[in-house]
Amino acid sequence: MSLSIILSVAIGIFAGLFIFPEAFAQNISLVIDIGLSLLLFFVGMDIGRNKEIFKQIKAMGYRILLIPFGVALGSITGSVLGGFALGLPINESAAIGAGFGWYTLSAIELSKYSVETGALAFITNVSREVIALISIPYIAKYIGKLEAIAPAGATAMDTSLPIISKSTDANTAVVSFITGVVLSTLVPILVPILIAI
Amino acid sequence: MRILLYVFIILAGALISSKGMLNEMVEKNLSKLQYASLLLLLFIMGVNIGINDQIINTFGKLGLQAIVLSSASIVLSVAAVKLVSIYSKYKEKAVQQDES
Repeated sequence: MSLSIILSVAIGIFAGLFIFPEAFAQNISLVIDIGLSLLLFFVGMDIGRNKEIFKQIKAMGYRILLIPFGVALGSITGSVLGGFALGLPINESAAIGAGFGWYTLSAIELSKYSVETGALAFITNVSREVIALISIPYIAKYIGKLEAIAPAGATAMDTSLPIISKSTDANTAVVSFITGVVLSTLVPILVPILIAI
Repeated sequence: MRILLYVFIILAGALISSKGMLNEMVEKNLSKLQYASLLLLLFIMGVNIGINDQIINTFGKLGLQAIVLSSASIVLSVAAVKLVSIYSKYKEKAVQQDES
């Protein structure tokens, strides 16, 4: 499974670079939206088949919210440490990490601060999404189901959700959606706060 | 707005399958259909990255920094969720012991 995921992304990038005409770029987000809606519908079907799901979610209680906060804390700490190794100022690396994979929003917010930081936020969060798509099946298999939500960050509610659902189970898919919603809400709040430090 | 759309789509799927409204054919092939659409979506997401000159040019200049920052974010967030999941299991055990 994991190899076909890596190949699909890689062949897609290659095809985008060399095969598809530029004009295709205008329609591509509509195609992605339609494909994503279809996949989310399938995720819903998996959830509907699992009768125990609400009992399991209820049993987790407030601990569900610890997952997005864990991902937020880990992402920001990670990018601060990475930024330290690269010699970046703490406020820049922290704000870039607080994009949680939502590359459009974090890049727009940080371009107001500096074009260079906006560009780095953009490409860092694109990289995060690609690494997430590739690593989620492995993390689910070798580390744990809940841990597989972590790389996705804010995309745990949309673009990464189908992969998380496929690599784990319906219960984790619901936790993943909630995690994605909380993190997506945090991005527009945390990015401006952290860059102003 | 987008979040509401996603919630609506997921709930529609959940409702249809929980009410047993799927015919056997679809039910049997759901997993294959899901996987095929997933690979197609990943391919298109790849195309979306490859076709975007801005991504490719920026990656050439800032790619190494981007990979260091994003990998460090991912590693520490997986570690943080690992801690949450250990704590969660510990709490669950404590609740079960209280009940028994």
